[in-house]
Amino acid sequence: MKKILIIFILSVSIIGCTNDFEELNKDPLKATEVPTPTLLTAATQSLIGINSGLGYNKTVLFYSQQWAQRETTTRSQYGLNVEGDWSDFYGVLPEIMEIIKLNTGEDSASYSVYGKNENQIAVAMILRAWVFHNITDTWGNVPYSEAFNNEISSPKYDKQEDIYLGLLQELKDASALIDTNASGFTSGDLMYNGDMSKWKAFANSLRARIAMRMSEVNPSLAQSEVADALGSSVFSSNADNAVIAFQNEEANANPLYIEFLTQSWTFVSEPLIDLMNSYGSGTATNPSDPRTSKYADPNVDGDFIGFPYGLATTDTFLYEINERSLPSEMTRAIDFPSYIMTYSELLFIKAEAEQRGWFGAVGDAAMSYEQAINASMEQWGVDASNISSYLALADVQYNAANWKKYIGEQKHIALYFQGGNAWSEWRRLDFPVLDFPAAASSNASEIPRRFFYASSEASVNGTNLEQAINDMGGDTFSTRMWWDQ
Amino acid sequence: MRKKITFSFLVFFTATFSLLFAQSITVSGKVSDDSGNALPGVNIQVKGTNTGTASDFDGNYEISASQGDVLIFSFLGFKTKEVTITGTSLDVNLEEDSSQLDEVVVTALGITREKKSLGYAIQEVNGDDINKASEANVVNTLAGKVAGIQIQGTGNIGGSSRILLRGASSLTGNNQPLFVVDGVPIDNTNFGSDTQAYGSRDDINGNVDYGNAAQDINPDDVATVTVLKGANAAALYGSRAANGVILITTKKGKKSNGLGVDVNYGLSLESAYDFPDLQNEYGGGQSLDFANIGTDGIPIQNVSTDESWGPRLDGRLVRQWDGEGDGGEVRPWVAHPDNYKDFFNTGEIHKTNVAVSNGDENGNYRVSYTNLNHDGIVPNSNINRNSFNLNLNGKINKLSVSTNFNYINTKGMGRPKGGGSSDNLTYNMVIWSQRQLDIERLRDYERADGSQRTWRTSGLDRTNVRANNPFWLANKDFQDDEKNRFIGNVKVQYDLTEHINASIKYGFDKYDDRRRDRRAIGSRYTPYYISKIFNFSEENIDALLQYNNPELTEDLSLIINLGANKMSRTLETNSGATQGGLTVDNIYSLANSVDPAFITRELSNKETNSVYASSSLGYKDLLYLDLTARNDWSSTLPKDNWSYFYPSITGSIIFSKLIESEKLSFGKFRLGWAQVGNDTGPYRLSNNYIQGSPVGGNPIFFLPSTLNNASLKPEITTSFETGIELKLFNNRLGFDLTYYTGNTTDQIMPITVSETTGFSRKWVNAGEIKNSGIEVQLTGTIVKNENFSWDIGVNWAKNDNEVVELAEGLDTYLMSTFYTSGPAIVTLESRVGEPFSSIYATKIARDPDGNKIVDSNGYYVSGEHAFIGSVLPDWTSGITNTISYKNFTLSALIDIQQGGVFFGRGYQTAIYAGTIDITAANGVRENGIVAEGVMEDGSGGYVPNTTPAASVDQYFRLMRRNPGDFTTFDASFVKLREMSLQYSFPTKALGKLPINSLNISLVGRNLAILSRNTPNGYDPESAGNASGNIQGREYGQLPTARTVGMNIKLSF
Repeated sequence: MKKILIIFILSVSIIGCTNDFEELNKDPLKATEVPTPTLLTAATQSLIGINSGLGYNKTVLFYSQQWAQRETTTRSQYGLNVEGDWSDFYGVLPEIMEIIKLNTGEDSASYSVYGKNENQIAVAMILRAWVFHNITDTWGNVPYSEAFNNEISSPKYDKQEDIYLGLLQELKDASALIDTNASGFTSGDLMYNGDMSKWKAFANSLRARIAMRMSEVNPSLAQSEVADALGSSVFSSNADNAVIAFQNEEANANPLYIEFLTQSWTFVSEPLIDLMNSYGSGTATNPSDPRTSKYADPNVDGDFIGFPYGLATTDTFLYEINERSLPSEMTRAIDFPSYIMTYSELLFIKAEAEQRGWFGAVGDAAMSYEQAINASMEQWGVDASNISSYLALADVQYNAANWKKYIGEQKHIALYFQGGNAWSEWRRLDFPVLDFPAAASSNASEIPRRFFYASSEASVNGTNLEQAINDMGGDTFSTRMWWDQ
Repeated sequence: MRKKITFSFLVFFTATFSLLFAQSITVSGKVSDDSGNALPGVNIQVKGTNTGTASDFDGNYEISASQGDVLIFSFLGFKTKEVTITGTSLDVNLEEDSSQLDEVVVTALGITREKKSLGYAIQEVNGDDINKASEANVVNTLAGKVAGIQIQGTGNIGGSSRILLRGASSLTGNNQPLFVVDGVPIDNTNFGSDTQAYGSRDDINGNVDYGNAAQDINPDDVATVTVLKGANAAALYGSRAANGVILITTKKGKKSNGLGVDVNYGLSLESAYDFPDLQNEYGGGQSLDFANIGTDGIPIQNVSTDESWGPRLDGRLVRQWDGEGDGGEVRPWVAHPDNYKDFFNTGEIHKTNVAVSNGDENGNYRVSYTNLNHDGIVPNSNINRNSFNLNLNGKINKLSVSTNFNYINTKGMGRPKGGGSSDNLTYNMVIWSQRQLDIERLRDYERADGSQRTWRTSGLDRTNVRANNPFWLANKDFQDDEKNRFIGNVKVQYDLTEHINASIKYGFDKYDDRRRDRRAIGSRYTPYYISKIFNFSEENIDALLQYNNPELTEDLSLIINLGANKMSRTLETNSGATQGGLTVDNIYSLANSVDPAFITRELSNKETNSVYASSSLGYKDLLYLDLTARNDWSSTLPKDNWSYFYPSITGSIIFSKLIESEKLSFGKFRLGWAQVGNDTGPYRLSNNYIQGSPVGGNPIFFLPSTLNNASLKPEITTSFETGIELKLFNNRLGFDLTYYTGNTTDQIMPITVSETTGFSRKWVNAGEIKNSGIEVQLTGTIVKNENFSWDIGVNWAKNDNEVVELAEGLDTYLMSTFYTSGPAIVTLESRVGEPFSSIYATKIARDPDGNKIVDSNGYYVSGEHAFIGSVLPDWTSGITNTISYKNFTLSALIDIQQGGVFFGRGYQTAIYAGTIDITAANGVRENGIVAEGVMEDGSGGYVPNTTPAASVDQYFRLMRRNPGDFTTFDASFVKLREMSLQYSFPTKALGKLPINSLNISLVGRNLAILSRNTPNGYDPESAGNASGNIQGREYGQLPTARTVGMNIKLSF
């Protein structure tokens, strides 16, 4: 009997052992340390997923009326909630913030094998500025200074004006941090492959864009910042473009490629094709702009005919699919890249800065304008001969007296596939002239000037959201950006 | 024998009552039960004397008595029988009694106790009641049979069933009770099907309902199911028992007077019967006129849409495609009203069970084999389950060894895919479809070249598939799976003294579950093959020291248990999915992926250690006091908090002992208080990086979206219950009432935080949920005479649930967003002050007088996002009627649920697509529709609306803007859940056949929905979704089916 009791007690004591608990509760298959390039690739892949994806990207392609929607036209009639975009945008940033954290932390030296710490930080800061710029230009006042802080679970909303100052400073700091003689990211940099001089050019070009956006509300600061940025190292050719290619593999494919495999719900819009044909004597059969065939596919008859914008769902069925122009096959390719900022846009900014007398000579504006169109044509692979004959068209010639229309329209055309930026430029310059669709939902009384805040914020960050709405003067489609007054 | 009784107890029993006196004659005979099994230890007494004896191990007895004396046969668990002596030989059959006072029940730790001594509510269901119907999922058989149990089954072949006992207490964690088989906890996880009803178009991982793991238990091997409802009853099983315990005891071998062979065969037919009311007036299209007329002047079916807003089905000749190739075929444009119904087959369920058992005082065995083969109502769907059960018990002197071993092999195929997925058959046929389609023409789903024949295609050669043929989906895009599961235990017990024994028990539950899904080349969307393999293991080692002395003193009885447990649980998941399609047709392998296949492995480990003690003190069969205490150490919590203690105390008084009353046969009052601590899942204390699929050869890592928390502490459920149990009029009427409350505090949950923090969720301890409720059981024998009896049993339970508190600064916990479009939103939320998991939906805006507001186009305007109701019912009830006449027994179970709501997403979408009858009623499409309501008069007031809707189809489509008024439903129902007619052949009739007993029964399950507040085809139970907490959304479920069958039970 004693033996049995001893066995019993022994077995109880074996049961009671907690020594291995802490080790047991660590996930053996999850990394606790990773190389920083893996975070950069993850972040940029998410970033182009938004910039060229099916959510925000399509919405702004509709809002800028570059594209038209067929079959279910909720979004182009301003009917849809845009919940996902808020989380998508903020969701890009954790990996970017982590790169900065790892390169400034105690173990930063161990991460320098993936590129000089300061260069890694600068890359992350530039991407962060690009993301925040898109966020603020989509919603207005947003959490910025208190965002991404583990200590703060309800970040305050900063005023757009303050965010702009912050972004300009960040880009200046990032540019200053860059050491072009040292190594950038040793791998995983799908945009510039570690070329820090290109990152520097992007930082300054982006700063020029952000500064120019303040042209109507704070011209003096806009002027000094634009001039300073343009005077630094900026894009000097299409080779400098901030562009990231999608992969020739389904998991990392261009999201539009996946969608177009089975659905034909989106077309190049009638307003865009009409605008392009308003230069010269273009027709559906013979478009004057050589980019037309790069942007759109011909219909069944070989003509380029856009789809009417903003129809009610049921009315879209009156238009046959094969009689309208889909986005071109090239743009629907599995690896069609995502454009973040191009040389052409920089030249349009330069032209406007010259026109406004902020930089260089006013008289150079016409030349910069032509160079900008030329860069856009080259970017889309138009033959040199076609470019020169287009530039020779009387209608295309720069008209300084009506510069907002010319720069506004041509920039809009050049910003094809960069819907967000095109939409912002329309809000700032009010060109091209876009019509408010008759079938629009009752949510909007004019073409939206921003997105509604995510309703999730009301339940998790309600007080700060309310303050932001007060400061903004409302949470509607018509509430204006600080810079769009 | 339906009650488990230890042999030693029988000996004790016999010795006490065996007093022999000399009488004139000796009467002998045999006592057996209804099935002819010998009953040993039956007490036999000559009425009015002290003369008595007990039957021996083979049920034989001898007693001295006089002619004309009355013998009283009594035995625990059986109805007492009185028989007058008319000769020297007297064989007696005793009838089982489920409502007997001295009922013994299996309680926690497998300890058998008299029910009357328990201070908490407990309910037992007999194995015969469970395996009567050929229901494969043991969980479903409990519906309506236990007060306070809510069972929601998806009705899918091999599908899930969710159980709630006394409501839900955890916001985000598991609310399912713990399943224990022969003292060993078994797994009831429902992997990957939380999104079963939510799958989006290409959610290839989450849209198949694989069912809950407890359905592997073979109902034929179940002797009893005991439901321990509250935390009181469950304190000894630890954390996981906070939601109650379903205690399953398997059948043991017993002494047989024949070969000991039982055979049970059942055949049931399954037929779908609840179909949506679809419209048969209009065919596919977007307008009442044909938009396209061929050059031959014949109108052409519009196949560029999958909706039914098209031209009237007036029989005119139209060029149509129901799978035809280029050019279509000219046929009359007519309705095919049964084109959904006719897709389904009659399902067949065959169940065969063979069991061999025998035993004597030194040991017993039972070996059982069961095959269940279920051909579902969907073509090409099948479940085949083989179960082996081996039960061995042996005793040598003081050492006894018992083992139970189960091997279950389940093969499944063609399980339905749910939710808003293009692979969901109902979604494909009821919603995105054209009403004139001829299902018969679609049966031939494949062309000679292997491409799909379907009705909706585009492209000149009609090869670009725009909608799948449902037969293609069933035959080409199906899933299949195989699971091997081993459940067992070995227990060694040594009797140290008469009253003390020590035992060690090792129990295990191990399985590998291989799931494969495919989409063939030629389907509408990218073909794929995915494979998921779950390797699960749980091991429990228990050491237990028991002291049991029924006669500590003359008045006191005492039971003490001291135990320790170590639980280790591991789950490994390996999955792989092809990317970018399949290279070669008909090869379902990861190697056949166009892009490199995506492969992942996950591992989760958890251990808990526990020590526990319990004691039960009885005084004169009058007062009972039970105490339990347990301390757990869990690997999932941080070191400072991983040890936690929780106690319970219950007491009862049998007050009928104190009251002399003819009417009151038994009366008990009980009171209990208990706490249960709970831990959490593994790996929630610190954050890791998450690996993604490489981008162009570059590895990537993400940060997690949930912020873990290094200072979590255990959550605590505190519950209280009190009850009264009465038996009146010589046990003809029984009444059991329980009131309980349960409070769960410090819930471990991932609260939603602003995404601007970098995380979308954060683990915290927060919140409080309160449940309180009443459970009533009534049993009554309305008529009882020699040949005829009528018994009624009623269960009724009401549970009130309230979210008392959430995390600081949080008054809404958003559980799921069911739907959002434009101004409309439907959410599942838990708000402070409201019940757990309530549906909120956008409703029509109202003027100050409450009239619905219509806009200038004649459409309803959306208003507030309002509370619709809790998905949990107000009350549930089950009513069983059993009528016996001679050897016939007829019984019927009615199952009632009052309250609860769900959102009909599938119904709403079918309105959108113009397939549901209301979209075509009364010629509305031609006559137009004027919404009932008011319109702004332009000066701040309202006038009655007289403006017809600008477009009729738009009017219906826009119903989705106000789901709170149009497409949320009350989930109340009354169902005829089960009905059976059983005939037991009298022993005489079997004559010289080598058969001991023969039973034939006709059984039907889910026979009819007797009352409902939902449209046809939308079963109030249809919003069931796996077993998680996200419930209340219907999205294209398969039609409800009934099963009707027969069962033959033979004993040799």
